Amino acid sequence: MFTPVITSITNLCLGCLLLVLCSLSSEAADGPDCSRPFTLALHEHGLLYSADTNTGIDKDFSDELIRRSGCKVNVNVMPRARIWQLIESGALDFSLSGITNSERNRFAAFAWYFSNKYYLLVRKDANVKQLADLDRNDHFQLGVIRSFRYGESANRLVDRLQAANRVSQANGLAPLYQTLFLNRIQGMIIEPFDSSALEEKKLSAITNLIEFNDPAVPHGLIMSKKSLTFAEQKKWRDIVNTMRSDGTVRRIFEKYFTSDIATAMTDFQTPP
Amino acid sequence: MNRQRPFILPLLILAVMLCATWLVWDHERQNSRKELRSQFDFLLRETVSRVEQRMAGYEQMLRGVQGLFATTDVMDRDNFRTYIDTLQLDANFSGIQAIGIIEWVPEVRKKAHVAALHRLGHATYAITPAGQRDTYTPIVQLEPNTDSNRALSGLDQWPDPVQRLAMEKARDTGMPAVSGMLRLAVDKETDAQPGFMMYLPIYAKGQQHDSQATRRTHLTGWIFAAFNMHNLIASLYGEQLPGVALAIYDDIEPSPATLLYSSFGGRVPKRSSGISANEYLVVAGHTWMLSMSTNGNFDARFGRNAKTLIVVAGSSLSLILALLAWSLANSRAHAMRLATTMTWELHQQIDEYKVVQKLMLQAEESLGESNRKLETLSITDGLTGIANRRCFDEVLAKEYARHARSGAELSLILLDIDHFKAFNDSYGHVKGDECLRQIAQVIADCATRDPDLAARYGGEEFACILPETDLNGAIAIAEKIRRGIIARAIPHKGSNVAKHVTASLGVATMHCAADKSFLTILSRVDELLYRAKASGRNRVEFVTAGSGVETTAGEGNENLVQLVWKDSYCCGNRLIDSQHQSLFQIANELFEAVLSGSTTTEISSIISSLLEAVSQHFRDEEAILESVAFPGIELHKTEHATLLAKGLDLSHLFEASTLSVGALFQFLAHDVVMVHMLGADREYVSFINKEKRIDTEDVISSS
Repeated sequence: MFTPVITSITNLCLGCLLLVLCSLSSEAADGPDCSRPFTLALHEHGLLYSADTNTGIDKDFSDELIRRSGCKVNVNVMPRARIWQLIESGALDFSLSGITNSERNRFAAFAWYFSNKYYLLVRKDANVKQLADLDRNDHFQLGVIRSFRYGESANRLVDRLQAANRVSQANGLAPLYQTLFLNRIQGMIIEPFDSSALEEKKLSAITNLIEFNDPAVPHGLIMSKKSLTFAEQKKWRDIVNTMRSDGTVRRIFEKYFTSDIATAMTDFQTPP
Repeated sequence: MNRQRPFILPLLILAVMLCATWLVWDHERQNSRKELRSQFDFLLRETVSRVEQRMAGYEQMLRGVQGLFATTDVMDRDNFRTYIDTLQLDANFSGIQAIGIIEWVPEVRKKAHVAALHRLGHATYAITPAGQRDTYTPIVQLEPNTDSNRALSGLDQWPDPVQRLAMEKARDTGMPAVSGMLRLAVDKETDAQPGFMMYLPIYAKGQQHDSQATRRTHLTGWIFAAFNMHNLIASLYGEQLPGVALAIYDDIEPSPATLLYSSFGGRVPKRSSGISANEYLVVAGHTWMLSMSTNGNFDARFGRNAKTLIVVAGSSLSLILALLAWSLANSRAHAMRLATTMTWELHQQIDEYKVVQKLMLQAEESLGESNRKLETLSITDGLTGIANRRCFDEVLAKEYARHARSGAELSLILLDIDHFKAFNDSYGHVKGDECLRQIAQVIADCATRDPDLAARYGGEEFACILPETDLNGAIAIAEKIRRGIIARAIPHKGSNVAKHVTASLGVATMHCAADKSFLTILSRVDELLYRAKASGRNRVEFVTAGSGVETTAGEGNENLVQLVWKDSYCCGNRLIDSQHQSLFQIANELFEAVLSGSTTTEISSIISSLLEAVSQHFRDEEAILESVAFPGIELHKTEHATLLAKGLDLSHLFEASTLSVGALFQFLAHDVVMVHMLGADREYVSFINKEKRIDTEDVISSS
C-alpha cells in the first residue's frame, strides 16, 4: 500500500526536480553571456549613490541587476565625465541613470527604468523667480556636473550660460552644494533624488526650486555599444524590463521616495 | 539741397559697407570667440581629466600596496620595500615624495608596538610627539629608505586634524582619501611647496570590513603617499601651461592660503579679461577647485586673427567704394551743372538771337522803307512831286510792250510850257519852279486813272502816259490840261501868246508793234509837240485819219524818222549843197540804224562817217567863206568847233552806251540841221546868194 504512495511521491519529486532543472536551463539560455567579467561604474549623485555610505538607488539597482544576470560584474565609482569616456571607448560596459542624446546614441544603448524632471535650484538672494529672470542677472553663475545633460530647455540654458562664461563645472554634486551654499554659484540643476541632500546641506532655507518646462526625461542602464553586441544589449534590456514589470524597480525607489513619487518616477512610457 | 545730393549716395554706400563690415567682423568675432571657448573647454576638460587620471593612478598604486597587505603581514617590512622598489616610480611619478605605512596603535598596545620596532632594529624608535594619547598612528616605515625618511619613523599623524580627517575617512569608507593642504614633513626645503597625503586603510587579514563598524574594528593601519602638488602638476604639464593660467585650490575657496598650485609664479593668478572657468574636482573624497583662465598667448595661439584683417579690408573697401561713388556722383553733378549752364547759355543765346532777329527785322523794315523811299525818290521828280523822266521811260517801255501784246491803243501826251525861258527871265527861277509845280499839279489832276502816269519829261516839258486810251480820250485829257493851265492864270508877261502861262501839247495814239520800241510813239508825239509850237503855241496837236498824215504801218516803215531834203534848202553853192544833202542822207541812215536796232558797231560806224562828213563839210565851208571874205567867218568857225566837239562827245557817249536816241536826234535834227545848217548857214548863203530864202517851217515833216 505504501509502495505506490512512495512511488508517487518519488515521481512527484523527480517531476519537480525536472521542472526546476528545465526552468534553470531555460533561464540560462535567455540570460546574457557571462563568459567574461563585466564592469559597471557608479557616480556619486544624491540618492543615486553615496560613496560615504556605499548606498543608493543605483547601488540597489546594480546589485539586483547583477544578481539576475548571474554574471561577474566589477563595480567601482568614478566621475560622470570619465564614465562617458569609458563607455564610448568600450572599456566600461555599464553605468546607471543615464539619459540619451544624439551623440550618446552613437556609442551607448539604454534600458530605461525611471523618468524624472529637472529643477533649477537657485539661491533666494539671486532674485530669480522664473527662468526668464536669469537674463536680467549678469552675475548669476550656474553650477553643473561635467558631461551632464538634461531636458531640452535646461540644456539650452546651460549652453547659453556656458558661452557667456557663467558656468562652473564639477565632477560631483557635493562641491556644487558647497559652492552654492557659499554663494560662489547662484544656481544648479538638480533631480528629485538630490532634494534630500538640501536639508542635509542646509540649503532648503536659502534656495528656491524652479521647474523646467521640459517633459520628464527617461533614465536608464547605460550599455557600451562597443563592448556589447546588439543581442547582448537586448538581453540586459530584458532583465531591466523584467525588473520594471515585476515591481522591483518601483520597490527600490520606494525605499528612497514616498510611494506616489516613486510611482511617478517609475511608471512612464518607454521611449521607442 | 542740390549741392548735398552728390554726397548722399557715397555716404549711404559708406554706411552700408561699414555695417556689412561690422556684421562680418561681428560674425568672425563670435566665431572666433566660440572657437576659443571650444579650445578652452577642451583644454580644461583635458586638464581635469589628466589630474583625475593621475590621481586614479596613484589610488590604484596604493590599492596594490593594500593588496600586498591583504596577503602578507603588516610588519613584513622587506616585502613592502621590495614591492615599492618593484613599482619603479620614476620621474613620471615625481609628485610622490614618499610612500609609507602607518600602524594603528591604541594606548594599550603602545609599549608592545615600540618594543616590537626596537626588536626589528629601530633602536631609537619612539612615537612623536611624545605624550600619552588614546590612539597613536605612527609611521612605521617610509620608502625610499633614506636617512631623512628614517628620521620620520614614529611620527604620529593623528594629532594633525587635516591628516586625521583623511585617515578617518579612509578608515570608515575603505576607500582612498586625500587630505587637505599641508606642508609635508618629508619636504625639508625651506620653501617647501604645498602638499597633501593620500591614505588607504589596511584591515586585519581575513576579517570582514564591509561596514563602517567592522572597518573600525579591524583597522590595523594605513598606507599613505605624500605628494608635492607642484611636482605632481609639473609632471603632467611641465612648468608652463600653454596660454592659460592654472591654479588649484584646496577645497572650494580660492585664496592664497588654500593655493595648492599655481602656474602664475606660485601666486594667485590675476583676474583676466579672457575666458575663465572654475571646476570642482572631488579627488579621493576631497574637493579641489581648479581655476583656469586664458591670457593673451592663448588668443594668439588658438584665436583667429581675421578680425583685424576684416576691419582693415572692410573699412578700406568701404572708403574706396564711397570715394568711387562720390567721384561718379560728382562727375554726374558736374556734367549736370555743365549741361544746365550750357542750356542756360543756349537760352540766353536764343533770346539774344531773337533780339538780334527782331533788330534785323526792324533794320530790314527800315531798310525796306528807305529803299521804298529811295525808290520813290528815284522815280519822283524832286521839284514837282510827279514821276521823273526815269520813271516815265520805264513805264512807257513797259506799257508799250504790254500794249504790243494786248493790241490796245496807247496814248501819249507831251507838253511844253510856252516861252518858259522868258518866264524865268521875267520872274526868276523861284517863280519858275512854282510855275512848274502848278503845271505838274494840273497834269496830275487831269490824268487821274490808276494806270495813267504824269511825268516831268525834262526842263519845262511834261508827259502823260494814257494806257488803253484812244485818241479822242487822249485829246480830251490834253485839252483839259491846256485849259486847266490857262485856268491857273499864272501871269506871263514875256509870252507873246497870252498874258498868262500857256502850253503846247502833242497827242499821239497808236497800236504798238511788238518789233518796235516805245521810241516810236515818243518820236511821234515829239513831232506833234513841235508842230503845236510851230503852229503858234497854246494848242493841242494830234494826228487824225483825215489829216493827211501817212500811215505806213502796212509797209514796215510807218514810224521812221527822216530828214527830208528840199530844194529850197539849197544855197546855190554846189559843194555845200551836195555836202548838206550827203549829211541828210548819213543822218537818215543813222536814224534808221538806231530805230531798227542795228548793232552798236554798225551805229558807231555810221556816227563816225557822219562826224567825218561833218568835219569835212566844216573845213570846205570855212574855205569857201574865207574865199568870199565872209565877215562872220570867225564866229562860224567857233560854232563849227563847238558842234564838232559836241558830236565827238556824243560819239563817246554812244560808245559808253549812255547816249539816248533822243539826244542824238536833238543833236542832228536840231543843232546841226535846223540851228546850224538852216539857221547859221543861211547867213553866209544869203551873203552868197543875196536873194535866196529858206522857210524853216517846212524843214521837218513826218513821212
